[in-house]
Amino acid sequence: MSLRDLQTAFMSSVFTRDDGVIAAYLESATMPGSPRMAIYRNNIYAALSKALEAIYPVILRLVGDEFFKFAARRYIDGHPSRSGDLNRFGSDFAEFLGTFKHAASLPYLPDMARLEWCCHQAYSAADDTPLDLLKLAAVPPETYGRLRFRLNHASRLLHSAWPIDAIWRVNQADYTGDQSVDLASGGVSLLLQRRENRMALMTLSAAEWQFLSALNDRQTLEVAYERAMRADPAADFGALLHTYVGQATLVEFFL
Amino acid sequence: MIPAQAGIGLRSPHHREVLHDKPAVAWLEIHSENFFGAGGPNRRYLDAIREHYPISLHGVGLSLGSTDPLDMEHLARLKELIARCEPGLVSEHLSWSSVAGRYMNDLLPLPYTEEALSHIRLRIEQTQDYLGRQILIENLSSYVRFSHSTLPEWEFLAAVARDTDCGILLDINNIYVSAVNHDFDPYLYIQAMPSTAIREIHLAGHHDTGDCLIDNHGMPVSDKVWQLYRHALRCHGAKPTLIEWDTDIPALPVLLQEAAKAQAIMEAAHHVAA
Repeated sequence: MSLRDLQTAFMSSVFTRDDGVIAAYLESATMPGSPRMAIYRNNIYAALSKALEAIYPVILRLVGDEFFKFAARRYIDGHPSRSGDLNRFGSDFAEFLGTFKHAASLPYLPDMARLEWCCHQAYSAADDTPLDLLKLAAVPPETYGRLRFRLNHASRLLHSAWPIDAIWRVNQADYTGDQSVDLASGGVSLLLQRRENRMALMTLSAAEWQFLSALNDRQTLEVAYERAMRADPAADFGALLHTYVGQATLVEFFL
Repeated sequence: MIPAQAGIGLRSPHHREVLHDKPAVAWLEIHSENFFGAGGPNRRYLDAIREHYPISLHGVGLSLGSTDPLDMEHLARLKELIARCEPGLVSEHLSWSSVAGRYMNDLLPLPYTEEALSHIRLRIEQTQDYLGRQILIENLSSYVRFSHSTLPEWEFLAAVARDTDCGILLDINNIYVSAVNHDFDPYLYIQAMPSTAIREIHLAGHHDTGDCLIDNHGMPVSDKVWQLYRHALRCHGAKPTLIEWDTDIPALPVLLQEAAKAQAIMEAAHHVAA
């Protein structure tokens, strides 16, 4: 048996739970009482499941240990790990939860998973330095409209039809207040940004959401401002720019 | 740069305490993949902690023994991490974990055949060439052995080290776990290792199910493993020795006590030898 064939047979045994092919190549297929391949199978599912638990702690709290393990097992079967770095496993968990009929009674779960994946990614994203205000001040005012900006690597924009920010907050390990969230309170637009050692969630108004989303899509400042104005005619151009440059959400500009 | 003294595997529950208290331990080892992110708190932490301790990088995800192409993106991240933290040692495993692009994220055993030997030799050489430095290869614990193996594991590992100039990271607990599971003599394994190639030793705890031993890194080092460690020191002299603890991680003082025990055993062995 070639090394390639052996590795293929080994993996097949792990995921199909059928030791038929691999057993012929094992020196002894069982220990007293337990098939040896089952040890690997258990370790592999446990490690992948633990990786999901680490990335999705709020989902874990919302559905409980047993349900999470059940869902994780299904996810692992349908969504192979593609990297030796377990921090990269679980990118499709939100989509999976959206199609997982056993979770249908918790319709906000997929968006919560999206929020946690965004946090996971932003948490280890590259460090950015705040935008150099002197450089911005040196830009001729008549060209402002043509400026484009880059958002902080450690930030993400996320919109949900559910109050996922509130659900997220009351399910943080260090939160001790009231656990109840009014699901009827409606959707939310969020800016997630890493602050020192943790992720901050900021709720955005319609104008703020339009403004940042446009810039994130590399639209010009003029287009971003127009969209903000359409959402809220009272939107203040100077205040928007000042806020997001000031808190290092906008970290680089191009003319 | 990594001294022949005892160190500990640094895990996230102890990050803050270690940086704050700076306990007296000779060196620290981290899992490379946990610091692959481009920035953020983990990278900042690494920059801070390496000012106080020699650092060793231990990888668990390279899948060196796989017949898939090497993951060059993974290697690139490792190379970047090496440049950033200038580790004293960089290690990986004598194992595989992926096939046809799917990862099992576990350390799986190779058959000890000529084919596997030439394959992993090539992969280690490719890795060392790309990184521009020596890597250490760790023996793993296993629950199966393949019937078409033609070499005992210790001969396979020694041949790998001889042919590629990689170092050996000798995991004493893994030798013991495999020796019990496969019924071979762990003392013989240790004696068969080339002394000069051994650049590091790992010690950890295992779980005895009654049917077999499971390498869970979740309890103190067993007496049998301490005995084997003494044997390894007699055979090969003092080596940088690491205490690993990855599940049910105890309070830091417990980990430091285990390291102090390894340190004391190393010093006693040296005293006898001198």
